This record gives sequence, C-alpha cells and structure tokens, in this order.
Amino acid sequence: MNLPLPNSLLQHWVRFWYAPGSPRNLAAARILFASTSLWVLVSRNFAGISGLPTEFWSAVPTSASWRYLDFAGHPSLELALEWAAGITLVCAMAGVLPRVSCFIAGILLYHLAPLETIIWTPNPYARGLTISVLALLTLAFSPSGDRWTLQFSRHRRQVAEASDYTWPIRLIQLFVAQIYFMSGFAKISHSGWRWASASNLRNWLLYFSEEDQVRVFHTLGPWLAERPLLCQIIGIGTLIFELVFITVLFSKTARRLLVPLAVVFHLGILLSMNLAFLNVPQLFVFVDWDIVATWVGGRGKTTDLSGGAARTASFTPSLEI
Amino acid sequence: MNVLSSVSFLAFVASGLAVAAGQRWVAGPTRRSLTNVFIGIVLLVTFAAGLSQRDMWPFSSWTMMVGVTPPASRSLPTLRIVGVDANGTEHEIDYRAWNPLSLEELYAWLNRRFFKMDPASQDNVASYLLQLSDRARERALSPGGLNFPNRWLGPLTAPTHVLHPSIWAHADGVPRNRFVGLRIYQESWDLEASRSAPAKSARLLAYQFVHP
Repeated sequence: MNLPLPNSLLQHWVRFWYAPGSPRNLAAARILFASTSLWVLVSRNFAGISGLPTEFWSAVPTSASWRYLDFAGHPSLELALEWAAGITLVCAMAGVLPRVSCFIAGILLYHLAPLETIIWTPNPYARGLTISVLALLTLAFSPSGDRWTLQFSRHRRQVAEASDYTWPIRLIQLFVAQIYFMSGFAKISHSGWRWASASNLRNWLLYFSEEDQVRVFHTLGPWLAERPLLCQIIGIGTLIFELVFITVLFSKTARRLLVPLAVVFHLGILLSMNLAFLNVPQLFVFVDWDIVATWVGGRGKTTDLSGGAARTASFTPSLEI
Repeated sequence: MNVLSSVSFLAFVASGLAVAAGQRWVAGPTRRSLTNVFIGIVLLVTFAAGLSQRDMWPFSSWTMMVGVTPPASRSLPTLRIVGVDANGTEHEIDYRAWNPLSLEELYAWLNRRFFKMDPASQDNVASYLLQLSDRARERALSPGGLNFPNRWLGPLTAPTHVLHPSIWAHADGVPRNRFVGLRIYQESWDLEASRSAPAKSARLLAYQFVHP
C-alpha cells in the first residue's frame, strides 16, 4: 500500500511498526494470552447459558445470534466447543501448531464469550476475553510460533524478517492501552469533567462498600470516602492516568512508570470497590522477554536468534519496561 | 450495530489471513502492504468503536463506570432475590447458586427484560431460579459444599468483574429448610446514611413466586 503521507510520518510509521523485533516477545505474548484466556474459559459456564429456559433468550435479537452464531438450546454443542477452545489454548501455550491453535481458539472465543451476556447485551466487554480474541487472532496472523514451541512442531518453522516480530506486539500493546484511553474518554464523553469530582468518587466508593451483595473488601473504600481531598486526587488522577496511558506505546519512560502504576490502580479498585479486572496479567505484554531471558541466563547478550536476523537484546530497547 | 460489528470483525479476520498468507507466498513489498492494510483496519475499527462510544465487540468502547453517582442511590435501585421457606422466612442466596448465570448478568437481565414479560413467562423463569437456588442450598449443606463455577479451580476460579461474598461458604450459614418461593426486591438507600439506617432505606417487592 502506497501511503500518501509525508516522508517523516512514513518514517515514524515504519519505525513504530517495523523496527527489528524479537521472536521471544511474540512467543511470550502467545503463552500469556493463551493462559489467561484458558483461565477465564474454564471459570465460566458458557454451555449452561445456551441451555437456559427459552424465556431468557426471548429478547435476544436475531442479528446478535447470527453475529456470533449463538443460539438457545445447544448446551452439548457449546460444551464440545468449550473443550475444543480449551484444547487449542493448551496447544497454543505449549507451541503445538501454535498459529493454527491461536486462530481456532480466537474464533471459538469470539463465539463463546458473548454467551456470558447475550441474554441482555451482545457486548461482553470487561469479562476477560475481549482483548484475548483480538490478541490470539493477531498472534495467529504473525510468526508467533518461532520460539518456545515443542520440538516436533518446529520443523515447518518459517524464516521471518525481524520486523515481522514487532507489529503484532505493537498491535497487542495497542489493544491493552486502548482499554485505558477509551475508558478515560468514555468518562469525559458521558459525564464530562464532573466525573472526577470528589463527591462522585466518594459516592462510587460508598456504593460499592455499602452494597452487601458486592461487599468482599470493606475497609479501604469507606476510609478513602471519608477523605475528600484523596477522593479529588483519585478522581483527577484516574482521568489523567487513563488518558495518558496510551503513551506507553511510544515512550520507554511512560512504560516504566505507567505499567506498574496500572497494577497498583487495579489493586486499589479491587480493594476499595470490589471490582476485578481480569486483563491485569496481560500487562506483561509490555515486558521485553529478551532482557528477562538475559537476566535469567546470566549472559550479557542474547544469541537465540531467528531467521538469520542476527540481533542482540539491545536491538529492542523500545520494548523494555 | 450487529451487522456493522460483524462486518468489522470479518474485515479484521480476512485482512489478517491475507497477512498470514502473504508471509508464505508473497514477496517483501507486497507483504508489507498487506500488513499495512491490516494495521490500518485495526486502527480504524478500534478507534471508531472507542471514540464513537458504540461497542462493536470485540472492538470495545470500554464504557466502564462512566456515570456520575447521585448522593442517594434511590434512583439506582439494586435488585435482591431472596428464597422463602415454608415458614415464610426469607433467606439470602449465595451468588454461586445462579450458575450458569453470574449475579450481575442475572440482575441486568431482570432489569431489562423480566419485568416486561407476561406473568406466565415470569413464573416459568422464577420456577427455574427457584430450582437453581434450592439445589445450590442442598449442595451447600452437603459435605462437599457449594462449588465455584469451576470445581477444580475452587476459589482460584476467575472472578466476575464485580466481586461477591460467598455467604454459603460454611454450612452453618446455609438455610436448613427447603425454599418454596422466591421474592425479588428493588432496594435503594441513602449513601450518606448507609444501609444501617433503615429510615433512609427503601425496599419494594417487585415480584413474588410461590411454588404451586
């Protein structure tokens, strides 16, 4: 595609998406997303939703059913598909036909995940599988099986260019970063800057602390709610954090600061509001696994290279946290 | 929106497959072009979903906790389903009883659909929920206890977005008598006064079912 862009923009585009990358980071992403998806998959009963009495399905739009091929009354079929998704996710983790496994798992999760909410909404976001579907398919479209695979599936390994390992990781990092950016944008779009007011944060904290059906942790929320200045700081801080998180895609300093802060952010939400965010482990996609491997191996340089693209760990400094 | 979302997802998959095929059969520049098209489609669709605030799952708008909460939650009624035994005594029900439904999906569905249904359909649903809750009660009283959605993972089962306390974790907290009916309440309370102040709380019986 010949992009009608100024040269400098084109250079930025190429540098961002096609800088030499590491097959190890892509393999780590494959294992990371397959394992977190498997955890969520085995924790839900998607097949059971298909077997609910027909009244539950009575208001599901036909277009939504066809969109995902989700229909009432097929619990056995859905159970078989759940098992198939589980097996392909294990294969993706272990590196058995990794790209094919990622593709099948991604498509099956696209079909299964909406079952969780389809009786009232066809959009099951924030249930743990949204990013996984996109990431697994992206991994299927890229050379994610060039490292950390079982020996017997390696013989067909293709020779990829070093730049082929960067764009998929960048895309997956973008999917994760968009969670925060879009979430911040949504708050401003729906409520304006009033969302960040101390009183709004205080009321959210009180609601989740006082509602006994969701009250698992009940110390931090009321404690924070009693401190208006802290509520104000949290409100403004949340909006700023969410809106600037997308800079982790471009800045090493931002990655070092904001990715660990995201973990603290979610821990704080969990303890003060009883809201769990299952994508937290997926923040590991910002780690440079070449550097980790170098530390673990106690060597100065990584020599585990692919496709003749001789490179060292220092070739991918932009990916490190 | 369902059609547009489907088309977007199909475009994502088709362009991705073209990239994958290109890695095997196509020369360098064309390969790069295919990848650029794929990246362009991803950027277009993901930002379109987010910035328009129209969810096109899995291209999500991530509309989470976007509202401004009023000081008193009276305008935000919370549902509560309780089991009723033969003595007419009401009992709280553990969130795990509703498997395969999670509590938030069940409540969201009740709010959106249930109260608009005809009485016969409502009773069919309530009969099913009564069966689920009483079966869970029996399991909670059994030596094995009430399972998490994944019995092997147990408490390591991935939680739902909203946490819930396991109120039937110990047999001594589980009702002994069989449930013969269900009641659904809409509750609201003044956040400042907290739920412990009955005068500032309101509870409305929205639906009641008694096993015939």
